[in-house]
Amino acid sequence: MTDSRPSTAITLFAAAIIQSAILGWIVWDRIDLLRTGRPIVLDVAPVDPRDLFRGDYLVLSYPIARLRTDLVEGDKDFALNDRVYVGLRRTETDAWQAFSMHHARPQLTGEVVFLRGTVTGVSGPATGDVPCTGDCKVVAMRFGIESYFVPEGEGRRLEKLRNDNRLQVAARVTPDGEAAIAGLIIDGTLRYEEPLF
Amino acid sequence: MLDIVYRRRIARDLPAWVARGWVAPERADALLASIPGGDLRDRLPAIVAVFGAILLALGAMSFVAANWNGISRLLRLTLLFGALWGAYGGAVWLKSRRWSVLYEAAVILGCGIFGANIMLIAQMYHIDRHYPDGIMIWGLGTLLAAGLSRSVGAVVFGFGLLALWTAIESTEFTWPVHWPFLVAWFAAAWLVWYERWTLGINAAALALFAWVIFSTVALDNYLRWPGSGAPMAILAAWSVAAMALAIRFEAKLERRDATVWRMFSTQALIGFFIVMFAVQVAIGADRPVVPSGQSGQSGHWLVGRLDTLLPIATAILAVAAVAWSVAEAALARRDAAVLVATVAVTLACALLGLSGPSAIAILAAACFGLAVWSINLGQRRDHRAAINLGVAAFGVEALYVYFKTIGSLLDTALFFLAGGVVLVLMAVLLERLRRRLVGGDGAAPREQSP
Repeated sequence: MTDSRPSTAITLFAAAIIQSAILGWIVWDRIDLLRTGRPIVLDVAPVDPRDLFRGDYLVLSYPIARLRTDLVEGDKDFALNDRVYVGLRRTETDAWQAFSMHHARPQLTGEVVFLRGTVTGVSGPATGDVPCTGDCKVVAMRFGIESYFVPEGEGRRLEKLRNDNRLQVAARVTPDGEAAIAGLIIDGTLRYEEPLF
Repeated sequence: MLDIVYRRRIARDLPAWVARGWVAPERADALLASIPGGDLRDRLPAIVAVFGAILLALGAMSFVAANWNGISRLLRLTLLFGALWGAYGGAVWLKSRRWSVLYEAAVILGCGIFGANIMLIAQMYHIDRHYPDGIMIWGLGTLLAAGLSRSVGAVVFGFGLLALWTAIESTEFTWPVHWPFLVAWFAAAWLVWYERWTLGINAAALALFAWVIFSTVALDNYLRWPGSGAPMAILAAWSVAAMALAIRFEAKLERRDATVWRMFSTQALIGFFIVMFAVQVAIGADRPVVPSGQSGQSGHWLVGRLDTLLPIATAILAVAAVAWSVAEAALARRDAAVLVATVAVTLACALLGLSGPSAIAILAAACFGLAVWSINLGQRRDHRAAINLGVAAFGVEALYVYFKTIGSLLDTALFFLAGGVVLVLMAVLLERLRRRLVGGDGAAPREQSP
């Protein structure tokens, strides 16, 4: 039975090729996004936990990741784990802000991008917020750009910058809404730029 | 790896064959020596080498804690891919030198580095997607490499990763039942069955058992079942079904495959006892137990009744598996009666919402009965693991009852006294019955598993 099988060298070569192809695809997908995606800037609010597998990182929380259905255009009926597209428009301060939420990605027109995310929670408005005009809900979302890995110990310094409102995220967005972090902006200047290689 | 179990069995049977003149004494040693995998000491280097590979893979992963920002991304990627190819290249070289033990370790190392690379690339490019997907890709990549390299160690590693994947998906996310696991599991299980890798088949069985447990927990959380009875009844019925099927296949398949199924039945028996203890602990815990059919989940009427329907459906499945085993003459009627009674007791606890001392007493009595039955089953089928498990379960159950009722020593004493009297009477009755059935001397012929 074993005689008819290909040699160990060939089968292990195939295993290495396939595993490398998987890893290569992950790398290429990210490089392509960073190279061709549309650049945007987002305001953030980082904290500093530690990931068991991946070391120190900042959890980045965005104002656009928590929207009230009565304060933005588009669809209103979102549920947990729904796919969501958040429409972003550039403001005078260069930071991009949300103006709409949709179940399906609308056509791109003018100076807008649509960020693709997943609904992580739907709740009522918090006490002290602007009163609801009719039935409204707060939709919490994730966009896959909530983690920024930093060298050990750097998280604290960046957290302090966050507390002083001096931190923003530079991101790239593909036409279908996938986003990747391209760098960190401190005091309006790009400081942590992500190289392709 | 199958040879090790097969050899153990032959070694046990050989003296009897020699005594009966079926095998010449001078040929017995040669016969045994012809089956590889004898000396457990031969496996020590393999175990050490695998541990070494695991440490090396963990070492690669610990890179993440280090500050390696000083290295360019291109160089980092070169290192990651170089390490992967280095491990597999080393495996090829070791195989060519016929160092099969170190070959296994090198393949495991390669699979470990593959996982480390997934995490390190995610770290490098700040990829923050659904993180169990990374573990799934790691597990599938490992199983693929295991199939191509015919590495049993990598197969076990791969099943472990699949179990970790389903555990995280089931407990941290909102899957009611994590079905995608089954797709990956069936593909990998077919591989280990086709190759007859005993260790791999065992790993597959354990991974499936883990899936059943985590899926039941996930379903319980998702549907917000008010009591613990329904999930426990489902798990008990699954264990009974698994054991009945394992015994059926063990009896009907050719000897080498039967060895594998005997290991399955042992595993199912272990799972069965674990579930039965869990049933007692859950029902004896503070969590309120209410009758099924009062699920907290609103919506479709069917969803609201799943805590009644699923235990009944799995109980029917278990009874069908037991009936099939009996019809195929693989399982005796008394064994079937014990298994069906167990399913009935756990189902009654779920459907009637039994709780408190009365439910604990019923389940404790059932567990003692099961322990005795397991010992009896082991004696009849020459299944030592069943005997050992039965003895261990009896001891654990006695301790559990003791600690559970320690607040009321009189009750404890009464329980043990009553139980002891019942068991002694039962033993006398069974012995009389057995002697009547097999003749005066009581030397019962053994029920041989084929």
